[in-house]
Amino acid sequence: MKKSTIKVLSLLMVLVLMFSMAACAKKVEEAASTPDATPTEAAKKPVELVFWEQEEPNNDPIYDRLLTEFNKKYPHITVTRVHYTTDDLRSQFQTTVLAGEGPDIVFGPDDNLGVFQTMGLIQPLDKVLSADFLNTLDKKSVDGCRISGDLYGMPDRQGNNIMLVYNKDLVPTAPETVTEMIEIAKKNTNAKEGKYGLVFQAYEPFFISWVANGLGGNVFDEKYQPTLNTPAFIAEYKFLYDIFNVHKIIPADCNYDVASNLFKEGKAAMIINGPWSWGEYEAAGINMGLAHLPKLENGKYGSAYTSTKAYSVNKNVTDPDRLEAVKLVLELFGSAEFQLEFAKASGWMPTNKVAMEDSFVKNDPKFNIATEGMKVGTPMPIVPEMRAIWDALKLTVPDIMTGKITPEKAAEMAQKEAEKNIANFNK
Amino acid sequence: MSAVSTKTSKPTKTPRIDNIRNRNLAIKWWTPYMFIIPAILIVLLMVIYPLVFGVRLSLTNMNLRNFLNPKIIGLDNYIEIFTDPEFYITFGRTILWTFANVSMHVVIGLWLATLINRKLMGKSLIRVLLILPWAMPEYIAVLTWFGLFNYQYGAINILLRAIGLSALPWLSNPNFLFSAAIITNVWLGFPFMMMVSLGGLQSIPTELYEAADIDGASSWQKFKNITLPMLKPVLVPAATLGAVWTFNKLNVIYILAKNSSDSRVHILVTKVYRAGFDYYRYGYAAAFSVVIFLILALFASSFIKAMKGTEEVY
Repeated sequence: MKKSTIKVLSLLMVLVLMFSMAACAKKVEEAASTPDATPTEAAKKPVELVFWEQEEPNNDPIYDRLLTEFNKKYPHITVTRVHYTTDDLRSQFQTTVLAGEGPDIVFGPDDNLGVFQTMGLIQPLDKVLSADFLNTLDKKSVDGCRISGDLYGMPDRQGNNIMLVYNKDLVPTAPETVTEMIEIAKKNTNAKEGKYGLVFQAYEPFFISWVANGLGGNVFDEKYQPTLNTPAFIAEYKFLYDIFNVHKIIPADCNYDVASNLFKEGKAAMIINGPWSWGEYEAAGINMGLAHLPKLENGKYGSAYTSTKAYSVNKNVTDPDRLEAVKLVLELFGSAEFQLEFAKASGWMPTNKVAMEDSFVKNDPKFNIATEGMKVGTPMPIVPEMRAIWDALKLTVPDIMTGKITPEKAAEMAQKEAEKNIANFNK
Repeated sequence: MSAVSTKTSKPTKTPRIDNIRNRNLAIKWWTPYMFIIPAILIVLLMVIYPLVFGVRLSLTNMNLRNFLNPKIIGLDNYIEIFTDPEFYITFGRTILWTFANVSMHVVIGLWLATLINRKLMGKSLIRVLLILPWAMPEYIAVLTWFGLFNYQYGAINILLRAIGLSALPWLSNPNFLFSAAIITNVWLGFPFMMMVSLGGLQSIPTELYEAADIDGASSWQKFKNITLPMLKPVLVPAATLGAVWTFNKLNVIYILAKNSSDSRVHILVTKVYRAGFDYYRYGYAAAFSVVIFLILALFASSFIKAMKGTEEVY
C-alpha cells in the first residue's frame, strides 16, 4: 500500500510541479523586466518596455525600423511591440491593467483615453514629459488629450477628418455651398441608370455631423449632458431627410459599401469620406478632387470631426527608470522624422510643429486641403459618453431615410435616448 | 461530465489475495479518483472557476466608473434586470428567435436528410453542397447576407422585384431586420440538423421498413411510426443543443444590425454584449449572463425530461 501511495503521490507532485513551474516562469519574467530602482545604477540598468499598438499592419515595419535604431542609441532600452486590433487592444488593456500588469505604453484612437482615464488605467503625463517637448507639438491636439486639465495622451497624428470628394469628370468645380452641392447632385442623379449625385455611409451620424458642428451645435453641455434637441441637430436631420425624400440624390439604404462602390464605379458624382478611403478611389481610376464640406446657411464651412491618435502610459508604471525610458520612447514618437514617415504611410497629419511645416505636408495636394478641413473642423469629444451620443443619433436614422418621422421628432427622440444611455453609464 | 460519471462507477473492493500478490496494481477506493484528477482539474479551471468568477462579478457594481475597485452591491443588478420591462420583451423576442430558428432547422434538416437518404444521382455532391453553409466561416457568411439584404442592390430585393413584388426594407426596419436575421440563421443552421438526422436515419434497420411494407403502410405512416420515433434519441439532444446555441447566438444579429442602434432587434445575448462591451457595465452584464445561464439550464433539463428523448427505443 505504501509503495502505491508513493507512486500516486509522486504523480500528483509532478502535476503540481508542472503548474507551479508555469506560474514561476511568469514571475521570473516579471522580475527580470522590473529592475530594482536603485538610482545609482539607473542609467545602465536594462529596461524592457512593452508597447501595444493598433496601427495598420502595413505600417508596423516603420515602428520596427525606428525602434531598432532607437535601441542602437539607447542599448539599455528594449521595446517590444505587440499589435492588436482596435477592439482587442481596448479590452485586453483593461483586463491586464486590472490584473496589475499590462504594457507600459499603449497607442490608440483618442477616444480610448476617455475610457482608460475614467477607469483609472492610465497616468497623467505632465510630469513624465517635459514642457519643452510638449511645446514642439501642436497645442490644439495636445489640449484635445487633456481631461480636466491633465494630459493623458501624447498625440502623434491628427486629422482624419472627412471631406467632400468629387469626381472631376462629372463635377468640374466643387460646390461652395450646400445649396450648390444639392443642385449639382440633382443634375448628376439618374436613378434609372443607377447614377447618384451624393453618396456616403448614411447610417452613421458621423458622416453628417459636419452640419450640426458647422451650425454651432454641441452634443454636450458642460456637465456632459446631451443637448441634441436643438436647432443645429434638427438641421442635421433635415439635411438627411431632404436628400433622401425631397431631392432623392442618394440611393435608398446607402451604407458604406454601397457608397464606396458607386463612387469607385464612377456612378456617384460626390462622396463624403475620410483620408483612409482616398487612396482606394485613386486606385480605382477616379479623377478625384477634394474640397471643403460645403458652406451652411450661416456662411460657415461644414465642420467635420477631427481626432488624434495618442500614446498613453499604464498607471502601473511607477519605477523611475521605466518612466525615464518611457519618456525617451515617447520623445521618439513625437519627433518630426518619425511622424513624417507615418504621415506619408497613413495619411494622417503630424502633430509635431516642424513636421507640420515640412515641404511634403505643405506641397502634397491631398494633405494641403485635408489640413484646411482640419482647421475648420471640430475636435471630437473623447469622453466615453460620446458612445451614448452616437447610439442615440443613430437610432432614428432609418426612419428619417424612409421619411417616416420628421427631423424635429428625430431630434427629440435622440435627446431622450441619449439621456437614457448616459444614465446607463453612470449607474 | 467526467466528475459526475465516476460516481456511478465506484469499484467493488478487490479480494485480499490479489492485493498481496500484486500489490502495485491493487485497486483502492481512491484509485479511480486518481485517474480523473487531471480531468477534474481542467474542469475546475476551465468551467467552475469562470462560473464562480462570473457569479461574483454579478454581485458587484463593476463598471466604467468603478473599474479598479468595484464594490459588492448584492442583488441590485438582478433587481434592475427583473424590474426593467424591456427585459421581458427581449426575453419574449429571444424565445421567438430560438423557436423559429430551431424548428426550421429541424424541419429543413430532417426533410433534406430524408431526401438524401434514398437512392439519388450525385448524392455525395449534393451532400457536400448542402453542408457548405456550415463549413463557411460564420462571420463571412453573415456579411455576405448583409450584402444580399441591401434594399437597392441586394440580390433578394432584385429577385422580389423580378417576380413582381415590392422590395422590402430588410435592414432599416426593425421587424424586417429581425426576419432577415432568422433567414440568415436558418441558412447557417440547417446543415447541422441534416447531418445529425442523416446519421440517425442510416442507423434505422431496414427490416423495420420491410415489415411495414408487408403490412401495407403508406410512406407517411412509415415516417410517422418508424422514422420519427427511431430518430428521437438523436434529434432531441441535437435540438436541445441547437436551442442553446441559437439562444446565445450573437454574431448574426450583431453583424446584420451593425447599422442600427434600435433595441427592437436585440435578443438577450446581444443586449448583454452591448451592456458589457459598449457601455462597460461589467457587473450588470455578468448578472444578465447568470440569468441567461439559469434560463438555459432550466430549459435543457426540463426539455430533455419532457421528451424522455435520451431513453433507448429498442
